[in-house]
Amino acid sequence: MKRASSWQVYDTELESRLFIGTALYTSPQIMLDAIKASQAQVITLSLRRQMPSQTESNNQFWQLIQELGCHLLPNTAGCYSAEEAVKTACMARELFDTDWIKLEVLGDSYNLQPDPFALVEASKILIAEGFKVFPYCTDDLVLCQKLADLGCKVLMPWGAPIGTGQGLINPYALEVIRKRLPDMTLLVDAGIGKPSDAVQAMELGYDGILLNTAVAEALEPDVMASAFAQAINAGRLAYEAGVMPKRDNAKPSTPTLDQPIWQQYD
Amino acid sequence: MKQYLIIGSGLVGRLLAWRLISKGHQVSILSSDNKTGTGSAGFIAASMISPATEAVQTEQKVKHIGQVSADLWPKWLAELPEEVFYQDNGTLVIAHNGDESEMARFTRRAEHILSSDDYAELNQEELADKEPQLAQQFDKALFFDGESCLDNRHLYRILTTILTMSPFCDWQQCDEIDSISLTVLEQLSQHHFNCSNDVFDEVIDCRGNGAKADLLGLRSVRGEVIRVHAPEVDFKHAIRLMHPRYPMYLAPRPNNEYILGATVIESDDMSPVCVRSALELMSVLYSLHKGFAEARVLEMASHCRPAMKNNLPIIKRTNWGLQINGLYRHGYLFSPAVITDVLALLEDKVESIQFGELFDV
Repeated sequence: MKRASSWQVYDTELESRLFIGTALYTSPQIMLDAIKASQAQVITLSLRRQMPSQTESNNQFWQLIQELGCHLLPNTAGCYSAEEAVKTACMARELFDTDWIKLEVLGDSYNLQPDPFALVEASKILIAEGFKVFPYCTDDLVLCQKLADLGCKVLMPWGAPIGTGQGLINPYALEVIRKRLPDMTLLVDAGIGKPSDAVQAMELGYDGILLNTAVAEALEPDVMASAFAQAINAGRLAYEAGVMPKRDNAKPSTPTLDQPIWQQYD
Repeated sequence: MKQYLIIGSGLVGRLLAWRLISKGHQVSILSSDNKTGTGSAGFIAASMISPATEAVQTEQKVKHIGQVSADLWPKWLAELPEEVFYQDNGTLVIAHNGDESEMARFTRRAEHILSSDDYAELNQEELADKEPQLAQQFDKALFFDGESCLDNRHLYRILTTILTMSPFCDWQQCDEIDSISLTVLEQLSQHHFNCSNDVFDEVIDCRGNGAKADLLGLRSVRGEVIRVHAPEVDFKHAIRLMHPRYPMYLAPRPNNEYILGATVIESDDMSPVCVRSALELMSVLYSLHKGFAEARVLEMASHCRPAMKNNLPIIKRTNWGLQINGLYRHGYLFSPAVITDVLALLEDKVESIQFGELFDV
């Protein structure tokens, strides 16, 4: 199977365009199987409840994650203020030994919508502190421009609220961001429910997909992970190949030159 | 008659010791916990025996192993000198209106993992028939017939009495045993039992979390519970509430006492219940029935369950003995089945082992 081209995230070369989460699996074994099947090279994990142990005994769950050999993208899930998110990010940098941070600052506990104002505030502080910030944001163009101006090299607008599996609720807004920020690395984060949602985002020219629930809550997570790996590759290949423009009138795909006239004007 | 050394006196250790002396064997127990068992996860547990509802949240195998235990529990409890509270009225699974998608998810998994006669969908009238006080807040439920729970602390007390009184059991407390080897066993046997380790036909390690240094891949999963006395609430079923963060379970005890448990946290943190969990547990109680507002909080407790990567038990042979571990949050659901298989192994009746896939011997 032809693979899409490799790409770079904050100077790190990656083959896979899928970032995958580590929550909600019914056992670590099922999580490991799913992550392997997804071929993801970046995994996200939340600091709050998957902490490397602060005692001298080893946290086995943490060891399992390390054994995967993936790049770690710690997140600030569950933070509701810039201050809280910055503090969590600093702890994550120390514990996981990475300056990557998926910055999540929520503004609404009902649909877990990012707070754009706190997100900008926290991004500014974290970039000054030397973090490589991956902001989880809404699909608002002006917010994305502000985050880009601050120095974010990656933006992760939502497809739909976290865990809803609604797919791309506003593909127009996502397409506008892609077109207006052509050099930005863009991932759709949250809301992906099925592989065709991921294909749609990749065909729009998004560089990658971050998801968790769509795989973890499938009846067979490893099989779904494989489906997403193939879908994301297909969507990227389609983007690289150049999707044909739409036409209003039908155009036959079989050449008509050698057909008798009576058939053409039948 | 054979002579066994059991290390650890949690649920598996004490149940196994009891089964062995019942069969006429001689048992020595060595444990760092007190004889009441307060350091054991099984002492804190809600002790629900729910093969089908647990299978929905994990995998099909859980139902098969759990069903064997569910059939054994009433028989084993009947052999005890006192009656232990055991209620097999079944489990009700419910969700608040705002969490209907969680209920839909549970139902979809139930359809995938179970057969349709494992459960029934109840409307409000049918729910009111089974659990009138619950039907005041909820208009539908899934019902899993035959699932049960027991009074674990009473069971612990009785087993402590049996084992300490029995002339065939010698139970000694010791310091924590981090790592076992033949040398360590020899020292321990000499020190605590005035004998050589060679005396024992088999050493069986039931230390749970304490066995981490000797069992690769063993990890801890933290859980938190609240125990209340609620005279205004009269539930007769185990209740599971689907919740976006994690499922909650309410297990009834005698005299209007209830245990609400939740939280599956990947951590070996043994510190007390945190405020956030306490708030969540208490608000869930209140949301189940307003009568919980006047309940008295008897206890809040946390513990860690020992688990392997697949969250299933393991029975493993080492050069110094047999290890039983990884019962995860399924101590009561799995231990009779696992112990029955271990007894078959010890008695060389390998052909009657039912869950060979759990064995690494």
